[in-house]
Formats: sequence, structure tokens, C-alpha cells
Amino acid sequence: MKYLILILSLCMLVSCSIDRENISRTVGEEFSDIGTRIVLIDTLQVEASTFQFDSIITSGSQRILVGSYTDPVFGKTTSHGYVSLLPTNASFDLQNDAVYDSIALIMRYDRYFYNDTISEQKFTIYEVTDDIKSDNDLFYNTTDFEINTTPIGEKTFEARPTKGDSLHISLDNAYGMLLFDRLNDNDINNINDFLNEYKGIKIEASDQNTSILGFSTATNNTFIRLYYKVPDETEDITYEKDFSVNSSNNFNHIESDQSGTIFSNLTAQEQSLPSENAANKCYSQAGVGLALKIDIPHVKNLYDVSGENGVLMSAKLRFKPALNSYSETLNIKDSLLTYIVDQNSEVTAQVLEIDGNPVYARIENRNDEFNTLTFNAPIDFFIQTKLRETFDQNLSLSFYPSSFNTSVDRLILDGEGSENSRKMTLEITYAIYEDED
Amino acid sequence: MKISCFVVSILFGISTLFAQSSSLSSSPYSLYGLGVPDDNGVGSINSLGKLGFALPSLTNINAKNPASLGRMTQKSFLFDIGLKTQYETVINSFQEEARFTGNFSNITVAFPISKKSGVSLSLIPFTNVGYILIGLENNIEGSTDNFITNVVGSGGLNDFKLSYGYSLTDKLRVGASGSILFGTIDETETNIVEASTLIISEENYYSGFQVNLGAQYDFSNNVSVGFISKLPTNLKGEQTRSINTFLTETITSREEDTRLDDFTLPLELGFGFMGNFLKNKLTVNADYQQNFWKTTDQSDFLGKYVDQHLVGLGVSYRKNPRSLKYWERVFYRTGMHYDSGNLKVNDYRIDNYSFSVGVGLPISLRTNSMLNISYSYGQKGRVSNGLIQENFHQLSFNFSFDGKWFIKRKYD
Repeated sequence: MKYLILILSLCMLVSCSIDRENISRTVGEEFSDIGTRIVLIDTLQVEASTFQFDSIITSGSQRILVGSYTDPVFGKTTSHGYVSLLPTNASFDLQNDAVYDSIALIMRYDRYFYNDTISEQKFTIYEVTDDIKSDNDLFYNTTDFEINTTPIGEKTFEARPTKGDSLHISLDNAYGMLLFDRLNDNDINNINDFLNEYKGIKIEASDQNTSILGFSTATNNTFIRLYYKVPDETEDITYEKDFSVNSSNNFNHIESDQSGTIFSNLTAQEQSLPSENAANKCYSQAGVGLALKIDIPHVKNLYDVSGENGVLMSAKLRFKPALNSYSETLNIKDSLLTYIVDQNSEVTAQVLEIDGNPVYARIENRNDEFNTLTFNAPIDFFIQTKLRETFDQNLSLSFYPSSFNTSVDRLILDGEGSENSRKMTLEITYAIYEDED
Repeated sequence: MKISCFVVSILFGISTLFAQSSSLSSSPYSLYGLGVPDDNGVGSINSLGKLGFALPSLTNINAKNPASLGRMTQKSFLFDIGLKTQYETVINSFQEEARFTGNFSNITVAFPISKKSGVSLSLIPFTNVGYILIGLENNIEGSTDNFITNVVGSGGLNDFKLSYGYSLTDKLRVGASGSILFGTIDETETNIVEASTLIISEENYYSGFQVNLGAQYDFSNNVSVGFISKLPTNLKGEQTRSINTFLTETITSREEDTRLDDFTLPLELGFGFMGNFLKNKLTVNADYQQNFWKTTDQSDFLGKYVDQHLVGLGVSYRKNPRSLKYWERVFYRTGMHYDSGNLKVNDYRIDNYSFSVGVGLPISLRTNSMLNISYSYGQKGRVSNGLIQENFHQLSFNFSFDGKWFIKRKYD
């Protein structure tokens, strides 16, 4: 019995341990009957166009976007910020014996800017008289609220967006005094009292061609500061009461004057501007809601190549930003999110990787000598979706940066009709395996 | 007897698992057909030319000829389990690779059921598949890039055999056996293009039933001949194939079941001679077998099947089974085996020959239990013919137990 157990264990040992020794092997390749072919297909037609979202959500953006600039392609773009405020700490009480001093709006640059910041800019601050509210708690680039047309402050300044500074805008003393008195006299004792009187402010940019600037909405970055003094024996002590951004109720109103541009006829979201009618280019402008639309109409032709025994291995869309369409001040994002849009240009899905992370079209090739960039977008989800469709749903792809709702970045791509070295291309690798034997 | 039956049935169960799950081969030649036929035998045969149709089943089970079961030592219970390990060098025109495999090679029991008859039950690997190709590069059509393919094959068929032998006269024995041939051959092909992977997994299940017939005739106490015939057999095949892709954004999966073409095993005929010399100290056996593959009219992507010839020669010497000196009770064996192969590739047969030496080491004086060790060196295919050449060193161990061993344990 002992022997048998020994033998048995030996059997197991031998069978488990020994036969996994082989590592990198090619002898025998000549005898293998691997029939799988992989074919590169780069002849499928790509159709690029541009469409305009009727509106895009700009609330909850963590950024107040203010400024205006005029673009030779896109026309004039202007952004105003709407901000509603709440006391930074919950107290509505001031110190005893307080005396009003001054009031200011302090805005911390978040380093975002678009277009040259050399020119002086002018911001004007207004009180909002409507409740900043909506049915679905969302606000759009097209949303507007009533204001008191008498400004409560304005500032002309040279922007220094990348220095980590804040912009300091002194506000009207009458506005400040009233706020001080209401607090001091206990007219405002809670948030509701406060919101009843102070709906918010609008930070409006003048419409000169300057730059569009981003400001952080974080608690200690952008706020209205009420300064007041309490007399003491030797000298006055200065106190501050801060009202910071209520980030659930701030948004940017972004408008674009497209008269005279190629987009002037894009009046509804379901319309699109084919690249062949737009200098062989397609366009995207964040904030304003201009977006790329890329269709691959004949995906099912892949079945002609492979018959039943074919399977998609990879699909890569490559596109290049048009020459001289970007610069240091009109910079380009190095990654774009991927979306599926339907025939009405409504977004139906964001494309994700298998592990749930967003899929990005990324710059894969940066050639500084020729000043060219190439984006590479994996689009196998889109191709598989189109392959499986029973009826053609006219789905298309769209790509835009994650800052599409919080910036005004533009993107101009060479379309499928551009010259060979620059045009948009689609590379599909398709595996064709053998019939079962 | 009870205990031994119990143990044996457990062993059978476990070995079946082994036989189906592990690859016993590392040969590129296992890419064709149903794999490389397993020519390892039971008991002493591995060092005696691997055929031995005229040999008896007295101290070692002769699984090659069921007729041998007609004359067994009464009240014996023979049990044999084998292991083999193989180290081989695989050479093609460009490179040389070393491979190592090892596994169980058989499990067999045999016992007499009357003075004139006996049965045996065995599980032996029938074919072995074990190949691995890694890093094969092929062009992506329409581009200058390549894709990478890895292929792994494993599995094989097993032969579960029940044999019966009967003595018609003192000199003539006949026998028959029925084999259930069954097993799964797996192949997994992985194709890689950049970050994408295509995995095609095939599970090919084959099964069939084969009938063997055998006869042995003793011209005298010292000279016997044996004859065997394996009847043509169709193996039915079923395939389950799954095709999976893993891309950046998508995973796809497809599964297909298909009937495979039957695989036909040919008629096999074998003839053997055995002679005892020097007062039974020296035994010589010589055998020939022909497998009529040509009539099966089958071909493989590699080439076509041709009739196969096998030759085996063996010599065994033992000075004195009753000697008190251990080394005088030991069997000393040597043999030679030639197999012309059943496939012709580019007009060249993939033939195979090997030389073996071995010993049979008695485990005790009272019984015939023995540890048989055999070393073989051989070659298969030839680089000079544009084929893959395999040079192999094979070490096999067969533990051949006599039932008295079990009975003795029972009274411990």
C-alpha cells in the first residue's frame, strides 16, 4: 500500500511538473497549419463634417469663463460668468460695533486662457435680479438671467492668467454698505434671507478682441469680500466677511457671433456642414458647441472581405489638426474623448475601454519640424456597433476634449478630402480565420 | 485481491485524468493527424524493440497480443504501471531547441480466470499531442507590419482496452481485445496585433471502438510465433471552437460546434518470433508489423498517408531466476525499433528508429515483481530531407507487480 501511494504521488509529480518547460519556440512552424490571415483595410470611406449643438451644459464647471475674442474662422466668441454666492462660513453675524470699510470681488485665475492676453480687458459686474434656478438644476451656454443694468463694479486690467495671481475688482460702496447694514441690523439671519436679496452676480466681458480667461470657483479662490472695522483702544481691527461661489449654481453664458463665417447656416443641431463644403476641413469649438461628426457609411463592406469567418482586430482613425490652426495662445488639447452621435447629432454614448476608462483620441505623433500633429483614435466599438446593426441607424463619431463645456478651445482638422499626407484616414485590421475542418 | 482491485480502480480513475489533461509529447510532428502514436508499451517491452507479439504474459504483461493471456501463471495477478520521461532536441534547418516531457505511460492489470484463459484491462495513451509555437510572425496583408501568432496544442487519445486470451491447445492460444479509443485534442491559437488579441480555441473530441485479434503458437518450449491484427476503425470527431477577440473597447465571443470528418485507423497486421536459448537464459524476439494507411485514403495538410512498416528486435538475458545473487536474477535487455512512419512529406517519410538497453530489477525473491527500466535513444525525421529532426533520449520505468505481493501485504 505504501508503495502504491508513493507511485501515485510520483505519477502526479511527474505529470504536473515536468512538461511545462517550453518557452519561445518556432521549430515546427513549417508544419503548422495556421490559416489565420490578418488584412489591413484602409479603403473604407470616411465622411467628416461639423455640427452645432443647440446648447451645451456649462454649469458645475469649476470655472468661471469670462472674456471675448474674435477668430477669423469662428467669428466672435464671448463668455460671461453667472455666479451665485453663499457665505464662506455659515454665520451671518458681524462683530459688535462693526463699521463698514469696503467691498471687492476677488477672482483667482485658474491658468486657463484662450487667445493673446496682451490687450487690456474690461470686466463689468452686475447684480442678478432673477433667481438663478432651473427645472433640472442644469444651466446651459445659452442660459441668461435678468440683471440690474446698473453695474456694481468694473475693472480694466492686463490679464496675468499664468502667474497664480488673483484679480481684485473693487465693488460699489453703496452695494457694500447695504449688504453690511443688512447683516449688521440682522435683516439677514440665514441663507434664505440672504438668497432673497442676493441672487448672484454676472461677470460680463466687454466685446473687444482680447482673450477669454478662466477663474477657479473653489471656496478660497473666488469670493466677494466685505471689509469692516471694529474700533479698539489704540487702532481699529479690520475684519472680513467672505461670500464664495455656490458651485452648484454657477455657469457660463457663452455666445458666438457666426455671421459671415462658414457656420452661419448651421441653425439646428441636426444640420451638418460636410468637410467638402468647408475647405476640406471639419471644426470643433468648445463652449460654443461646434463639434466634429465623422461617419463611416460603408462599414458592412467588411463582410465582403471576409465572409462569415472574419473578426475585427483593430480600427484606428487618424486625423491631423490643420496646419497653422493652433499656436501657443490658441493651443490644442492632446487628448479628445470619443462619443457616438445619432443622425440628429444627439450624443447617445461615450465610448469606454473594456475596463471602463474613457477612450481617448491621442496625439501619437508630433513632428515639430513640419509642425504636424497626428491624433490616433481607436474606434473598434463604433465599427463593431455598425457591423451588428440590422438597420442602418446613421450613427457617427464625435471627438471633443473633456473641457468641451468649460473652455472655448477650437480644433480644425483636415478632412478626408485633404491632400494624401494630411487627410483623415481609417485603418482597419481584420482577421480571417479558417473554416472549421 | 479485494484491496488490489480497489487500488487499481482508483489508479485507473486518476490516470484517465492525467491522460486527458497533460501533454505527453513535445513533438512538432504531433501537429498532424491525431498526434504522435504512443509506442511505449507495458512491462519489459520498451527495451525489447517495442513489438514482441510472440512473448508470453508470465512475468510481464504482454499487452501487444491478447493471445498471451491464454497461458498465465495460475493465481497470479499482474499489475503494471509505467512512467516515461523524454528529453529531445528538435532541429530544423535553422535552429535547434531542447524540450523535455514526462508522464504516465500505462496502467495495466492482468489475471487468469481459468487454467486456460486470462483477461487484462489497460489504459494506455494512444496518441499524444504536445506542441508549442511561440512568436511566429506573419505579414499583415496590405501593410509592412507583422502580427504575432502563438500556437499551443495538447491532449491526445487514450486506449482503454479489455483483452481476453484462451488456450485452444497446449500449443495454440488465441485472443481478442476491444479498445475504446477516446480523447480530446486542444489547440489554442493566439494572434496579436498591437493591443488586440484574437484567440481561437479548438477542442476536438474523438472516440471510436477498435477490435484486435491475436494468436500465438508454440513450436516447442523454446520457439513461439505470434500474430496480431487490428481491424480498421473509424473515429468520430466533434469540434467545439470558440473565437474570442479582446480589443481596446470591445470583447467579442463566438462559439461553434461541428462534426469533424471521421478519422480512419487502418488495418494493422503483425507477426513475431520468439526463441529461448542457452537453457532459457537468453530470449530473442523479432517482430514485423504493417499498417495499411494507404487504403484509408486520407491526407493531411503536410502530406499524404502511406503504408507504415515497423520492425522490432529484442534480446533478453537472465542468468538464474532462483539465484541468491541479486545480479544473477536481473534481466539484461537490449532492443532496436524501426518505424517507417505513416506520412510522406515532400517525398520523404518521417521515419523513426531507436536503440534501447534496459534492466528488469526483481523486487523480491518470492514473487516475480519487477522494476523495469529502459533507456532509448532515437531519431525521428531528418534535417537533410528538409524535415524536422528529433533526437530523443527516453527513460521509461515500468513497475510490474505480481499479485502475490498484494496478498502478502494483506496479512501484514
